[in-house]
Amino acid sequence: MIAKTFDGIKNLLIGLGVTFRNLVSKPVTFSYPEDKRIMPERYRGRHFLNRDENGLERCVGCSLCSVNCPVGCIHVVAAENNPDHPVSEGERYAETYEINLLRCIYCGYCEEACPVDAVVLREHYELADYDRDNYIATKSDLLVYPEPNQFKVNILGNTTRV
Amino acid sequence: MSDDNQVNITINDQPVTVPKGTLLVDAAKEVGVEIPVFCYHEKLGPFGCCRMCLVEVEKMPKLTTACTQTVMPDMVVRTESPKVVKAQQGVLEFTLLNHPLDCPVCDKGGECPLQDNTFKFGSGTTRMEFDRADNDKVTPLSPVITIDRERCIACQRCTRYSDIIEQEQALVMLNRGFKNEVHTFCDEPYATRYSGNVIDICPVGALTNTEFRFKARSWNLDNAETLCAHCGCNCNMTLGSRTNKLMRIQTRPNDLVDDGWICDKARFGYDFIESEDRLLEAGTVVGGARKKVNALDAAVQVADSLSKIVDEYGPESVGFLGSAYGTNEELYLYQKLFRSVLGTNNLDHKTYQDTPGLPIDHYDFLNVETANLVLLIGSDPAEELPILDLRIKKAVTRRGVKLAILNDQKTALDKFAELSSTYNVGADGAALSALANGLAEGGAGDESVTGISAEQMKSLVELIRSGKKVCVVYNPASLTGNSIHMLKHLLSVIGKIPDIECGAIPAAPSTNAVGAMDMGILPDFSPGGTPADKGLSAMEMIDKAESGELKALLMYRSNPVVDFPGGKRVEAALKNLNLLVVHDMMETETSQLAHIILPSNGPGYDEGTTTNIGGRVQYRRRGLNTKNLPDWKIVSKMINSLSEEPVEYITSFNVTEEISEKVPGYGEINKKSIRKEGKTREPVTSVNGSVPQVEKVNSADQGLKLRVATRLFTRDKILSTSSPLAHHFLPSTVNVHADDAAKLGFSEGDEAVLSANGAEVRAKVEISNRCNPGAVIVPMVADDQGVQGLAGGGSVSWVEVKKG
Ligand code: SF4
Ligand code: SF4
Ligand code: SF4
Ligand code: SF4
Ligand code: FES
Repeated sequence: MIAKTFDGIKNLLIGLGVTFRNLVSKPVTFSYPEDKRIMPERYRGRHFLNRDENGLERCVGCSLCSVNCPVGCIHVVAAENNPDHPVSEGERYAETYEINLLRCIYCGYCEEACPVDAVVLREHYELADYDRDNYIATKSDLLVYPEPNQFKVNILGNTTRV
Repeated sequence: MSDDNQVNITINDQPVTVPKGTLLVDAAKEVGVEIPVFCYHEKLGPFGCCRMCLVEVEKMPKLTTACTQTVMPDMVVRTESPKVVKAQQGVLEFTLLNHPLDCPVCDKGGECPLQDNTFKFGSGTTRMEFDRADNDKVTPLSPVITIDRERCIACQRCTRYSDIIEQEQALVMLNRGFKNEVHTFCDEPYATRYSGNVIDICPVGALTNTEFRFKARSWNLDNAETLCAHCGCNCNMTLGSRTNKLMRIQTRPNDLVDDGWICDKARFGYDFIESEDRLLEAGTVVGGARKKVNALDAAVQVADSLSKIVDEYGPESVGFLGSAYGTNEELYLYQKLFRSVLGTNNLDHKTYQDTPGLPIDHYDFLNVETANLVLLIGSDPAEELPILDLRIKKAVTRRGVKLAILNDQKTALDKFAELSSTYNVGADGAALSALANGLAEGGAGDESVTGISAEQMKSLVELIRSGKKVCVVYNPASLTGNSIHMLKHLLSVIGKIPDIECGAIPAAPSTNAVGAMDMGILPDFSPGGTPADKGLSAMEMIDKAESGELKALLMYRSNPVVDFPGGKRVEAALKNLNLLVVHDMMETETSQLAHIILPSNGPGYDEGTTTNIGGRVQYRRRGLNTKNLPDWKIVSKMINSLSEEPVEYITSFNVTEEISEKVPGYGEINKKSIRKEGKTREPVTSVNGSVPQVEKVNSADQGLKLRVATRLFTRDKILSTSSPLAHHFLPSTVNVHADDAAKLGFSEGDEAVLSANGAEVRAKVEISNRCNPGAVIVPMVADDQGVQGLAGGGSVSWVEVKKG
């Protein structure tokens, strides 16, 4: 009987030991949304359109991303560059470039297809919103090119701390 | 057992039997072996300059080009041996030496033979270590074609096209080696009537469509397999659109119709589709202002007003002016409305005389090539039916067909003709009768009347007699008075010559001229050439409108104020009507006078069948969507609101079914039978009875006879000033014979004023012997030129030509 009691207390202490150990250890969770997670470099989050070293748009409006997209959520309308005020390096640029982020499955095929490394999927994962219309990312949204893991105003309108 | 004309060969161990003379590339296709090519094109023939098609033939020491090598008995060919693969990779590496590799921005990307061949047969790497050549990028070759010289692989398809197919030699290769460039003479624009085809045949993105450049990628387009609606050839084409915007038009080869080509009017002449002058809404005019109404309500209103007029003044007081630009379905329904429901025979679609049916066979385009002699009467294919022009050139230059021309004007085809005789303007009846008599019993007619010398007439008769198969191509619209009956008499005379096989093509310029007659848009024939009680012809309707006997007219895609002889008189007559309904796709001078307006969809938006000049019925698919009702729905609404037997059509094909049931000759025409290449309708009956009298040419005391010539690129409702084809527009010109010019004291470039019927037209004098003395030729260059106002509407019109 006494032996049984001691056994019980021992087991209780072993159990509580885990509790106490975790009481003083660093937590694995963090307080999102105040704190943000640092995503791995090759995480496939929201799309951005790159610019080249001269500040011109890299995208030449070739539509290869759009034809490669398995769900067909990219819409590109190309136009001819004015040689005096070029928008992109090539003879053509994307006059309209839209991605429907709701339909997108974040597979990254568009990035893979792009011959000029214009469209990329970045670490930005905060995509929740109340309005569907906000999910159509247009050129003005996509050409904002933030530093890695910097969350400022995302196109969906939720403002968060860095 | 193989007969003499077949050859057995082996390609990649597979036996093939093909006709003698077949090229290896084509023979390989028979067994599904692909031999890559660049310079070879079926229609252009062998050339052998790109070396892409090298294959190994047993017992031949070196590789040979499959595009120039014809099959020989028991040949053993390999297309995949290591030697061939090495050669293919080498050739591609060379071809790509200076190629810019700008596929992402190139318009050809996605449908480019160079891309495809490199992908399939290339090595994947290059040993090129130097910078690529830097050539001119965007260089306009004409206002509608842009060349990118960096991309050109010098296959010479385009230059050969210009040389062989259009017979213009407008494009040439200049310089040698790396400096080799496609050029025109002295950098003149490359502006032929069929220039756009080089865009389609260029195997790379060197020749591009200026209008389409960078607008969309080939895989973005929704391609509708449709027909051109500009002329009676009804060439097949693909209308590529994106988000309901027209992007480009391309060829869709159909050897039975267009031989793989379309003309520039088809390719670039489509700005009317999005023009601001389109009629998009139905309207009624109340107190001078147009009020928008629902199209179906307007249709009911039209039907009610027409039947009220019929009740009050009788069925002879209403009339229908159709157009040879409508589809068979729409014209058939209108015919039904007016003939069966309203009970009038006042239907017409043209200002010249014509009857359906031919006393001899109705030939189609292929017969032009297989004939021995093509006899062209009163027709100017280059301006009226451009793809027929290419077909005739092909027949003459590559099929050994002889060409004889009988016309009142000199045309571009004259230089290909064995014999070309020019009759006096207005003497077509006399000339045709002289020829018919010459063929029947000898004789040459009166030169002073016909303008054709006895010798010429004799050689023409000889030429026709010696032809084993004669194909007569005639333009009924160019004949005056009742000469069409003389022409049909001539046809039956030719048909009776022993040992001659013959047929004819009624080559009226408008899209569905044959169909409009078959559908009974004629005062004296109901559908299928069945004679009917004679109603009023188009010109008679105008006369009766003027005198007030005709109370109401419905115009379907017709603009008589500009297109009918008479000008101001026509306008006044139309103003005289109690009811003028205009059903059209564009705002026209006539629609301005209308009391009720109905919108018509027109080419691009409409669908239905048309019958081309060769009698082939094809389906014109819709390429773009519209919110407006199709024309056949509007017309069936009119029928239903009047008739006790309502019609119910769900698609336009239901109307086609009714046509095939009711119209003699169209029995075999249905959705399935016309799907691919179309189907020739059975010839309709012809009633060409008695030999007509030659009409006496009315004479005037002074002045010259007027001949209005058709032009392909006319500034009208279809091609506006902002059209990409505007560079083809001509200023108003009058062609005067040198003798007349001397008499009148004109010299080249003078300003002349032509007057008749109270109308005046200013024109620049061009002294050319385009017609015989005593007449002038005025090409119709623009709607606002008003040249039809000079014409009186009788058989021959006279004008006074003065210095301006
Ligand atoms: S990530 Fe995938 S689904 Fe999303 S746009 Fe790109 S290709 Fe389309
Ligand atoms: S993002 Fe890249 S693949 Fe997409 S259109 Fe632009 S250049 Fe082409
Ligand atoms: S322009 Fe095109 S068709 Fe002409 S030679 Fe060059 S590659 Fe050939
Ligand atoms: S020839 Fe006539 S039908 Fe053919 S493309 Fe030209 S206008 Fe159209
Ligand atoms: S295709 Fe045979 S040489 Fe060009």
